[in-house]
Amino acid sequence: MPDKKFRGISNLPVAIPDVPDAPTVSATNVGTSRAYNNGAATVTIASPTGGLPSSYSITTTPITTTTTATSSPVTLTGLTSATSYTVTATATNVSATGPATTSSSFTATTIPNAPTIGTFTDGGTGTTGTLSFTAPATGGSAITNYSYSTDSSTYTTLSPAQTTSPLSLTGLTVGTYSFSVKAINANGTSAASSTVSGTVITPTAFESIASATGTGASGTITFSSIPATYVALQIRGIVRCDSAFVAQGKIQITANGDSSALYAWHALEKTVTTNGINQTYIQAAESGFPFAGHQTDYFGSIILDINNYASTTQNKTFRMFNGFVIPSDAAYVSISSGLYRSTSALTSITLTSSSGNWTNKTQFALYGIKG
Amino acid sequence: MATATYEPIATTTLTTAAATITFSSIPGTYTDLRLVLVYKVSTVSSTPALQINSDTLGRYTKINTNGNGVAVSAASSIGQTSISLANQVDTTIPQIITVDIFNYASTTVKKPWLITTSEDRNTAGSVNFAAATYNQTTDYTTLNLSILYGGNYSIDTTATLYGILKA
Repeated sequence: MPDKKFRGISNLPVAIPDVPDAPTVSATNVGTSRAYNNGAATVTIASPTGGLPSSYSITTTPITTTTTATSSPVTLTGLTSATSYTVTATATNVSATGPATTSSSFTATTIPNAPTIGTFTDGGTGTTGTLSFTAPATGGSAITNYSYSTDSSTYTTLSPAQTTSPLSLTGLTVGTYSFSVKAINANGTSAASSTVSGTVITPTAFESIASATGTGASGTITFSSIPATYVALQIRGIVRCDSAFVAQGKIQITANGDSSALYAWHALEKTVTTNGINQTYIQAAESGFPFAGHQTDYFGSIILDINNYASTTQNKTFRMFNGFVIPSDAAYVSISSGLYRSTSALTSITLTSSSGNWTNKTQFALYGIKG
Repeated sequence: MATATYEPIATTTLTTAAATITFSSIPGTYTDLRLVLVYKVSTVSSTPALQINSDTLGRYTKINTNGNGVAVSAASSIGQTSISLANQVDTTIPQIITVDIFNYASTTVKKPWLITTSEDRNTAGSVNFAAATYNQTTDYTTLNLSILYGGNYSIDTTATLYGILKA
């Protein structure tokens, strides 16, 4: 019999468990469908040797987070996109917390951040345009494509894929839209950019290319680097020179900087016909234009058409229509043909005042006419 | 890239005869205007004419050259109450007039115009080209097509106003 004093109390030894050894940890990025800067990882912890753990403590760096779990695997969330994390874990039981595991590393990836919208530029066709944007942070996974919307509701994924700004959009119709864009990577599609209004305009066969204004210090205006994408050109202008007196001052036209005797013109000015053959320029504005001796604020005007200007096999033909009226002073009107005997494509046109400088209200505008 | 330009601003097609066609509230956003008139008139004396901003004072001047298959002539008209746009009209055959008005929105220059008129009545016809101006620096916000010497523009007369925008 046990001693009565100790009756009911076992004298068996109490079992104190061992401290758990370092667990084995494996961390894997989730990525798919994770919102930007809300990455996730799955952390799998293998039971360590030593004492049986009752919980695990998981620590991530460099952005330190500590998670306590009682089972494996464990999902970590709220991770920063495109950041490389190191994960360590310790196991704990009633005895103590064991040593930290050997670390496991991964890079948290997510969908891209939202792009920053730029501007929409009409393509001039009635169905196309370009949409600029600033590329967003990738979320740690390369951007593979973009989608766009014209109403902030339905998004069209570009096919073939486009990854640089501006995006080339097709299949549009004439109208005004609210454009937005989303970025796509292997994890999914970003939030939408803000919107920008853009208009697809009715296509036109007549486009403005460039314009120039007189300076008052030069009698020459040149349009250069003229694109060869039209079938004809038109120059429209209002003209006046600062010369004290010009006997029906003319606009002298040369092409491609060529001042050789390859030019000709024929004109009807009021009831008088004139011409020039083998000249060093085409004489436009046969009827002249206002000069300093005329009343202020009056201008001559001219419409100059140049056909087939981009041809490399044909000579270039011109048509000029111009005139001006100043009440009780001067009135002229003329229509002229012109020729530049060169098969070179016309890439520049120079308009020169026959006397004096173009005033600072003189304006020329160059237009292209499509076929 | 080049900017698209040359846009229709307004078109009027008459469904009943009218003595006037007016384009008002013209936006000042273009560089030039082009007016295209394809018309018939009710009497052979009816002559299309153009005024600016409903101004009927003697502020209009024109120089015109005309060729009719027989002779070339030129004539000036100064201080008129409108710009006459035609020489020969017809009551059944449509004729065409174009008017280019440069820098119409300027408030500092007197705007130059260029006008062409194509008139063919089979047994008679002519072609005209003219320069004109309205002797004011005010911007143009209204174009008034009227009829000189009585009568109307006939049904199906169409007037279209275009805006041309420089780069």
